[in-house]
Amino acid sequence: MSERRAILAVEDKLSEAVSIKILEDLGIGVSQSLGLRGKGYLQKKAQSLNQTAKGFPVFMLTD
Amino acid sequence: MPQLEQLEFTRDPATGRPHLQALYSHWRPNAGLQREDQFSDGTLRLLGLLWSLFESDSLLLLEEPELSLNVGIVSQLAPFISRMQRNRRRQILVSTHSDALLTEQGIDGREVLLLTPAREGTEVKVAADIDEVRVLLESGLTVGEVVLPRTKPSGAEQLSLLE
Repeated sequence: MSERRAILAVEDKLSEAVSIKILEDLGIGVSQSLGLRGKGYLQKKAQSLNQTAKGFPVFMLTD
Repeated sequence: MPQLEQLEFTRDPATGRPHLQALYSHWRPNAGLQREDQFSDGTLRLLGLLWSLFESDSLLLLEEPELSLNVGIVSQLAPFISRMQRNRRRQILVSTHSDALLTEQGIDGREVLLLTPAREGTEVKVAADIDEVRVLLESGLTVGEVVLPRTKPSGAEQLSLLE
């Protein structure tokens, strides 16, 4: 079985570490980390990431 | 050139040595006259960059043209180089670590090579050949947002542990 992978979109390094751990527990690898520029950046890019999610799994963590 | 009102080639009357002389914007007339040994590093680099771009039509390799330049100028480099290349049908290769340079929306993932250090040497991949990169670029993200994070050296965070 091929490894499941996802693109990660996060606000900061802490969210990145937490997300990697969550995905790891679900058996999903991270193929690409995006963001690390705060919540505003993710909000601005949400539409593009939604579009991306049609072709590739995206995991976004924000609060 | 930002802040430069005039740039000219002069020759030292005593020694005969050639010089560049620039007139910077200044509230006192003629107070802003400077020679190349008084130019900032960024001004010298930008002059060198423009010189290289206008100089000939042969293959040009630019290594990190963003060095010492203001982000506002760096963000204009990609479209500027593209226009220069289009008019002269010239091949220009640029290496960069700059987010500002790669944030230009018009940069195509098919013209970007991602160089990654590997065990047996450097691996080279066309950015758009990487599935998730291609999908992200097609969704409207820029090469700077998508490709640069992939070049981060592993263990770079260790630097923050040093005291």
